[in-house]
Amino acid sequence: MKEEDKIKEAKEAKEAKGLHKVTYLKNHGTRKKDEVVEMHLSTGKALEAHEIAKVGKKVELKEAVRGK
Amino acid sequence: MTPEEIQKLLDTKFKSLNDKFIQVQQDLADARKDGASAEELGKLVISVKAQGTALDDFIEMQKEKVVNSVTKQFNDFLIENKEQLSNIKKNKQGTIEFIPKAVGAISTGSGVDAEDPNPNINTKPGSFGLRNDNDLLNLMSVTSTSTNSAPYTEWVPKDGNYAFVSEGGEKPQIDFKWENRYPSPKKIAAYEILTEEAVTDVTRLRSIAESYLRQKHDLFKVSATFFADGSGEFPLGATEYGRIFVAGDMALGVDNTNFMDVVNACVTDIYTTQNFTDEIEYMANVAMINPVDFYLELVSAKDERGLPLYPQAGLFNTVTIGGITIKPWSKIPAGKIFVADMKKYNLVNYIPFSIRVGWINDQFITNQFTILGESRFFQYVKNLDQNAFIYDDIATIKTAITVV
Repeated sequence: MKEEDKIKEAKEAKEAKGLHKVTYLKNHGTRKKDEVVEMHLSTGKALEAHEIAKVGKKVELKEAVRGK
Repeated sequence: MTPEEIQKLLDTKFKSLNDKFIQVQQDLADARKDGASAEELGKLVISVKAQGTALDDFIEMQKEKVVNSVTKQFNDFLIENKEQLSNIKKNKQGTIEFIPKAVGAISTGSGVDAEDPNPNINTKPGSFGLRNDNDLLNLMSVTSTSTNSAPYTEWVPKDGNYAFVSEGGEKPQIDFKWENRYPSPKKIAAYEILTEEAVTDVTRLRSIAESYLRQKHDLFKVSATFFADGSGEFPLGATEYGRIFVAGDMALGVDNTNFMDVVNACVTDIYTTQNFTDEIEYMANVAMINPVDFYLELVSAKDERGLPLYPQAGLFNTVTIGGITIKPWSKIPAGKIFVADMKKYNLVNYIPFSIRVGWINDQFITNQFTILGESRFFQYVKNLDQNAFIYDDIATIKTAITVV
């Protein structure tokens, strides 16, 4: 995916509802490589654009929990 | 005086007598050589004999004294350690050391405690170096109640809206709803058991014990209102209400991102997240980070001339910008940030902290008593207000808003 497409995708994700599973590709802040965190699609896509993390599937409402 | 020192003194005395003996012998030889008279030689011979006798007497006397003294001490030693010696004989192994004693100088080491001293005599009254986090409660909406419930109501707009209506036209209907909620009171309690003797013998022990109960209670209460997980009898802490940051329109939008961009991104996220149309915006009033992050991001931040970017940080250990106060708190893990409109966190004090004293079980007949510290309070955040709390990673937020 081209760089501008990644940015476009991240910005478009702002309207998304719910949370997505995001897997960290490297150690980042307090997060460890391979750690899976639930976050908003826009945040996940932004991290993906920086090649920090990879966005996974959407979290079903019943299993969605507040981020820690 | 040690045996070595005694030996040294004896050697000196012996040398002195020996030197005198050699000297009178030399004088006798010189007198003969110089042709002294028989009378003079006779006097010198008597002198030589006298010195020789004195030297012999000294040697004998010291031998006798030392032997007598050591023999007596050794006999006493055998009597005193009879049992231990018997054990060595029985076990066919073991050692016991005999060190002959001698008169010595009185020094600072001469005085010892023959028995264990009473430690309570030397116990000085003081206080515990416990942190006081009570000012963090002032960030919340704190009220009091004397009733055993603290119900609250959430009013929520529903459907419909105003419209421009033509003559005779039908007017639109609008409606709303409300929900009553009933938080249950939470209780914090702990107790100490003391003996009558302890509070009598140790100065101000009772006061110190009560002060400790109070300080521990306050710390526990503040910590719980921020971090408790809401399970069972626990309240739900503000960070547990905290949601994750949503980048939204801010994603990949900031050049040269710094820490203040992170704080402002959270403030903006809280401000722009609404539950319904035209809802009043939430205004974050506090951001809390770990003290190490506070130092790295604020205290040590400088411009290109080396001047501090946030002088308040170094001066007052807090930074207030645009209505938000950034504070360090050691309870916040390094790398995390908590941003919130803490006025949306309601703390309703029900039973104020009190200390009660009483006897349980057989304490009355064993001179013991119990001091109990306790308080009860309600806490809640209205469902709609939970968007006003963000608890997330500084690095995640910073990366999410930074341009690629």
